[in-house]
Amino acid sequence: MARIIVGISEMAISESAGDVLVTHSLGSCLGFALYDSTMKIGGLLHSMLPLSSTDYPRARKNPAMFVDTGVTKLLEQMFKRGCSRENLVVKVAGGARVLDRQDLFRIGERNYTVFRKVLWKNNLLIAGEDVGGSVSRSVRLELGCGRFYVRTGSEEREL
Amino acid sequence: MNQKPTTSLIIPPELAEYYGRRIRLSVQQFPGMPIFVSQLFNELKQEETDMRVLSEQLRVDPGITVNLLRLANSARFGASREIKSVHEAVVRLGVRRTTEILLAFHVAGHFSHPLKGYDLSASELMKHSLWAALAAEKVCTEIPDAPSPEYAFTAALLHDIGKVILSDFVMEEQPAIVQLVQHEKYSFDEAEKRVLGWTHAETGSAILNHWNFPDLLIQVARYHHDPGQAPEEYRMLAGIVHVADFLAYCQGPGAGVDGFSYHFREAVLERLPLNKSVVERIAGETLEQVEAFNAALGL
Ligand SMILES: [Fe+2]
Ligand SMILES: [Fe+2]
Repeated sequence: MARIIVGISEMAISESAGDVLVTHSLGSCLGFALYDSTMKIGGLLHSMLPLSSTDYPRARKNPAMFVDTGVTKLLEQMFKRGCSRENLVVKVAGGARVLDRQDLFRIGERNYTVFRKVLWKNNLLIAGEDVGGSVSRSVRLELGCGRFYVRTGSEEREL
Repeated sequence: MNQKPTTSLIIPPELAEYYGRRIRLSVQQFPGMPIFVSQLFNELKQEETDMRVLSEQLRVDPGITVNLLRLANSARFGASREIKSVHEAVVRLGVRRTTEILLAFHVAGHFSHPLKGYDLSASELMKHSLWAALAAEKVCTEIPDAPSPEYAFTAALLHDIGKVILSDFVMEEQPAIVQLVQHEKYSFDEAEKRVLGWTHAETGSAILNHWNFPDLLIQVARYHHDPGQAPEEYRMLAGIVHVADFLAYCQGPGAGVDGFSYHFREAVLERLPLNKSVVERIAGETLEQVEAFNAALGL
């Protein structure tokens, strides 16, 4: 039983019931959780930028940094461990935006748009989401039961 | 005198007077920086600190030595053989990096408490400030006629220092501030001004003034949320810190209750030719540096 912290631009997968995958300070970044309800395998990703085309060499070194390569990589690894598309539950949080919706800092919205596209390509639906707004979030995914919680300040809710 | 409605106080003048007195007192009593660290900040103005002088100063500061060696030996800075002495470390990292680490180390000492008013845990203000500092430095390398990167690093490192004092006051008036921010569309610093009479930016510049730091750092702290108001000579730097601050809130830790409640001053972009792809590339590069610094500072 472990609490696994997923850092910025990182991902983690666990198969042990009792493990908790956590990521903090999502801001405009996206926290993407995948859970196979039959195999009881869960994965969590914390991506900071929408597209790997911004910086290919960096994306090759660290695919989790970008939403497009990160989501693809996490899916790939989940499939490799025997997860199947039909059993995957997709939840997502983050993508906050700043007060004035200045184009330069619409990173959160772009992250979410790219995320939707990648999911669509992979034929997956979103089961729960808490995105946008002007708040920074933390999330955790509990293995075993697959519960996914979003925390803002001192408030926490299940998605 | 006609005041703009946006900045007018919403507390009784006597209460504002009382808060003002307490804030000024906290500034007077704010712990100082070791003298040689203040000297380093002041020497920013000079072209280069002498490498030998720097190594000498480091030797008398055992606290930093361990961290400096750890950083110099970290794979992220390309270490190939083990570095055992301070002088070797300075040679490996360069004077600029060494100075920055030294400054960050001492600033971290002042930023080590949780700041409840902003909902920040113990290390979060430091992490935010470091992120902004490294992003600001990167922005400098992307634009023509930019100020020198060490100015940007240092100014950004200290931009939110006022939160250390103002946090307790924000805590006292939290309901009123939250009301203005969440229901009346004020930015967080505007709300601070209306409810306390002081913003964290003003408080920070008062601390830096109290420390006798260079005017550049005082002014950038003062205007980091409204760089257009900064004195002309520091306006570009204030703009760079403004952008770096936003990047840090968007992508890094320490956004707290306020991070997504500030105005982005678009006018800064007239002087800073930045676009989406540059900003996003900077973000990716910053993360790597942040991780190296966090490791060295034990954050
Ligand atoms: Fe600030
Ligand atoms: Fe800030």
